[in-house]
Amino acid sequence: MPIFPRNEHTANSPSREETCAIAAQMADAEIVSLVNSLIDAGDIGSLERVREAQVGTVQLQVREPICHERFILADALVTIAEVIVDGSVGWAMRLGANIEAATAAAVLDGWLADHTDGAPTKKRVIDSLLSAQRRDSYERNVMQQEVLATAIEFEELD
Amino acid sequence: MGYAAARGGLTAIKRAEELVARLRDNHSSAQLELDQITGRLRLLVDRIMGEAGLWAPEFAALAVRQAEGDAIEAIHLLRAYKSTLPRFAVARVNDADEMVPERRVVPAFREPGGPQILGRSTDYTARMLDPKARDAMPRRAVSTAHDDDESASKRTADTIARPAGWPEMRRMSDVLRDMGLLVDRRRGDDPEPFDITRMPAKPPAPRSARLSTMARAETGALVNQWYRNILGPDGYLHEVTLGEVRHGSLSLSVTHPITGGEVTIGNFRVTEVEAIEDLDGIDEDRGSFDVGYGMCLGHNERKAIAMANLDIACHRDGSKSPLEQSILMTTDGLDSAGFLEHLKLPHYVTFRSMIERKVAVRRAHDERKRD
Repeated sequence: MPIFPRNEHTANSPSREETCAIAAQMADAEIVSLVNSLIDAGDIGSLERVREAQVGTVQLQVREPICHERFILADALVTIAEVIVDGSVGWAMRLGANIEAATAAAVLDGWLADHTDGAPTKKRVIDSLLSAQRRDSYERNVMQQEVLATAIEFEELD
Repeated sequence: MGYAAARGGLTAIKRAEELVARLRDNHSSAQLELDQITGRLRLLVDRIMGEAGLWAPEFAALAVRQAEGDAIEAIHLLRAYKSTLPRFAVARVNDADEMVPERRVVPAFREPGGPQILGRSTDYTARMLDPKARDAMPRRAVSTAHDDDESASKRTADTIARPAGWPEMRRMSDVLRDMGLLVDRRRGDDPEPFDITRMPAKPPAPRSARLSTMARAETGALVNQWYRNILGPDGYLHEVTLGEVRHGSLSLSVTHPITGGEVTIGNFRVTEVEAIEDLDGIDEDRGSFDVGYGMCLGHNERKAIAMANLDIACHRDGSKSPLEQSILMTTDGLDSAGFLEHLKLPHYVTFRSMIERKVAVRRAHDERKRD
């Protein structure tokens, strides 16, 4: 699933919401691997769960354009996780039902919040996130080009 | 099991379940992987999610596999699973105009605001079965608008680092509104939408209940409602012109509980349709059009078209006919299929009482004849 434009990183130092969005949309294996590499390198000290990660839903509402009226379209399956990393609370919500990936994203959120900008390890992690975002932007753009190639102009017959 | 004063047969029921599972799971072919189902049977997966009312591609694929491809059964599995889950939050409300389109056609207008994009469509393709694809589906090359000056294989992350942005696509209802040809039904208030998962909708219902009901309705039932109103006995619908048919993505954003800021956790695809109605009623503004709206999860244009047509038909009807009742109470696939399939369960007691009544009537009839 491509990383969506909203929360797309534009500045040198992405906000917490931006990193949280990228971590939420990375592939399961990718986010787990990134966080495991931090744990293996000893970059994460203490780690505890605020509560068990849980699978649930989020309601999707749409405001339609004719009467500007809201209606409930459906729900989406999500997994939510909340942890404390070195004393800092980390939170994540990801689409789908993967407890491990949601927990990893929450760990990353807490870890990034606890580290000052410019620290070498944090910079490396941010670079990984931005690289994932660039890759998805690229894939999205390729798809956009492919879709735009199907633009059609009909002609009216006399 | 027990139903209608019948019980027993537990061993046979378990063996029947095991037979289904064994013959499905032990089939000599390779097991269908979930990404095969989401990737190669996407329209089926989209339909399952839409009618279950849950965006969950992987679990919809799981349901399709478990249900052996029976769509209604898969929808039942997914909706039952959903009913066991807590609802954490309401996502940021999406404005329909925020859709990132993958397809857009405007049957009403040759030159609408912005381009018409066929996208992933076989609308103009001859329906020819491809016998050559029996053994293997060939891998196909990418073709893009840039193919004339740069091959797809040469493009790298450096050359296309960021999307160029989509051309503006002004929706047809806005074009009509600007021309002063659209009845203005925009609301100044913002009522809470009706939640059909918490309470069944009954007529007269708010429009949000009708829209939610149709978004989750069984595709075939909705198409049938539309068709029987066009050509069948009901006749509450005109044949309308479609303003917009779009398929694309909306973002799913929630509030970060620590910062209070907005976080986009992903996106979901929807199909959206505007149906333009030529008002001709005696009490209507005959110098204007009105528009019906349809949106459903995934790529399901038949459903969204039927929904938009029925939305405007219901509005014009104003609950005078049984149309709203038909939509609210007979289009849910799980309701209708469940009621239909319950007929297979033992009805021994009710049917025995019917036999006894018949026998009693016959006996009374015979006695009257003898007398």
